[in-house]
Amino acid sequence: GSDIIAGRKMRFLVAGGQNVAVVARSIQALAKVGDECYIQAFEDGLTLRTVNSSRSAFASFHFSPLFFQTFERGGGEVQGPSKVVMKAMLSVFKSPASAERGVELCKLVVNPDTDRLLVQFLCRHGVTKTHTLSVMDCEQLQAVYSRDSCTNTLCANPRLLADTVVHFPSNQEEVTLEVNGTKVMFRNYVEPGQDSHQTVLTEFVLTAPEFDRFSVQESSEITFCLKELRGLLTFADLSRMPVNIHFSEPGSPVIYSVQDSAMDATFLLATLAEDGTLCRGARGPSGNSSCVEISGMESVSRERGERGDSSGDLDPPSGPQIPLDISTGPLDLSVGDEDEDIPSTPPPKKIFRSLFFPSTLPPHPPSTPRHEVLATASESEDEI
Amino acid sequence: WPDRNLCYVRRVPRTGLWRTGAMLRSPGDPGDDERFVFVASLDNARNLSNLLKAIHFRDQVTFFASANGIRMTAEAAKSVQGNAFIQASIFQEFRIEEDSVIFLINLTVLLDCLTIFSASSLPGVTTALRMCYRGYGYPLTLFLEESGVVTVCKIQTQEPEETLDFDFCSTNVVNKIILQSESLRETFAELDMSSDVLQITMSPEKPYFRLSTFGDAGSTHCDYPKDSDMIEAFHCNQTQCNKYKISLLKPSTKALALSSKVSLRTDNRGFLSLQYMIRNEDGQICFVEYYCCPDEEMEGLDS
Repeated sequence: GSDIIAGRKMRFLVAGGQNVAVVARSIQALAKVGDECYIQAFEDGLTLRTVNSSRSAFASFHFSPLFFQTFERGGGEVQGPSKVVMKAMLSVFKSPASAERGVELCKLVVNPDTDRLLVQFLCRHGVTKTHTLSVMDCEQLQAVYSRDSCTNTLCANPRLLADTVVHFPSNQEEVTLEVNGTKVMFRNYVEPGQDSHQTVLTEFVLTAPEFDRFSVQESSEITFCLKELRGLLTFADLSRMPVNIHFSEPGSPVIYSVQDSAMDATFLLATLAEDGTLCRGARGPSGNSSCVEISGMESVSRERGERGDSSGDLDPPSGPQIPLDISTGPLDLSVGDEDEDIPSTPPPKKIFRSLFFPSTLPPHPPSTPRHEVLATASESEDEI
Repeated sequence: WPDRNLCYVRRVPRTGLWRTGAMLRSPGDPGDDERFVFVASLDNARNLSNLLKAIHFRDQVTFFASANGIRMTAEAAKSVQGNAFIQASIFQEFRIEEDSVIFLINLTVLLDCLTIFSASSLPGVTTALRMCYRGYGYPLTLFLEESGVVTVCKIQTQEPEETLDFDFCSTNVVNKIILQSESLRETFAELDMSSDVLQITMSPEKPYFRLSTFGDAGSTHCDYPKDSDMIEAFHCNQTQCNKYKISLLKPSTKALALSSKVSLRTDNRGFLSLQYMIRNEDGQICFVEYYCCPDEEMEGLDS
């Protein structure tokens, strides 16, 4: 009725330079992962999300209504996300430091009807800065995952992690995280076949007492891309939030997250499978292994509005997984299905298979029924 | 604020006797007791070099000296001009034997020489400077001294080129705003360079004073209310909205960074005058001025 006629404009007001700086930092962290920023308002808050081009890293920042002085998403159905070029967002939210100093209020208005995002800063001395960006309607961007089903959980002070990763050169792509007993090791990943005599090996050993939380049920060694994670680590360090790390066996993605009373951030990174080949990010009982496109819009529509559900209990999916829904066009994944049968070492950039690639060839049958990486889990399941 | 007549542009007559490309005399020059046409000394060379950096968007600049002082002029695209004024009273010694002295000189080389002892300015440590010029065809000689070490630099001078006369006079000024530079610095530093133009709106009504860009990311407007505590004087009689090529104005950011106050004036043609009040290390006030003509294609269009 009236909701439809009233238009779909959404208004959010962030008060205080410090809070605007948090938004700016979150965008800087997202920019380390992907080139497009997906903005979506749910009943329980505003999300900013992105995914990298090879679909092997997914990042999401969620701001609850508490974070805002005004949170008007328009009643009714949750609308699809709006997509903005990440560079544009970066140029608007340029400097967290200057935001902290000089910004008093930040107004965000998303108008899907005019395809515009308005970001207005009310600054010191009465100065107003108004940015108008183009947005595009787009399909859902949601990775489904379950932290609870991960076998290992660590929680670390962000300084600890920052001090660890600083020792890896900025061009170090992959690192290996190994947990064994009470030891946690970070080392740079050296590809098999690489001449170890010419490579500098760096290893950092941390022990259980150095972590705020250390729950290791199974020794594990996972390799993931560090570059995309740095964004979250910087965010956590500057915001002084402890970092939670959830992971299981190699091949399952590792989940990094931070949270406080008003916001949380989750970074999902694909990990190398044990045999060092392309990881099988997900498997589905009836998943079409050659399908990289959306397996049915109906599964997508199920996703919409799900965030707002209060139901926390979700069973493991019996049907096709809900894949990552990016666009209505064919997804251009750099790693095609044909590569599955090619045993040769893929080019470095492509060693991480898409997180969201349903496959019928699991590395080994699971001993316990556990959630796949794409197991349906609304955020509410993981909320504290 | 300087009277526009403080250092005026004088057209230099061209005769067959004046050749392009000055000659650099051999090291066997007569000694210092030879009469110089122009001599100026500074205890702290930074009082000159810092100011010159504010117009360093071209290599070639025009050096003009008269009894009033020195003016250096840089131009680009026949559309923008930057002038740095160092009045005679700033110098510890200032002698000029002719009505005026004018030549073209390479500012990059001049700055390299002025800062030859230290790239970064260390507080308390200064380089003393003595500039000498013997007249047409001679190089500009610089004597630089720091902690007892003396360096002599001779910089080739060249045939001066005609500088633009923007014909900007106070009587034609339509709008004028004087601002504290601090508030404009961030805005200028963050200008969206993917925009071709910087649009400046000045008006007795809202938005009063607005800087706008239209880049790849979208449009940005930065609005200053007329009663902002950063605005020292607001004299706008008519709504004007002019666009200027952003690449031409971007170099003025350096002048803005050095200055404590800036005045923006537009005349009835939409020509822009930016005057920057700069305090040097000894607390003396100097000025840098930029003139810019509006982007021709956009003239007359509203935002």
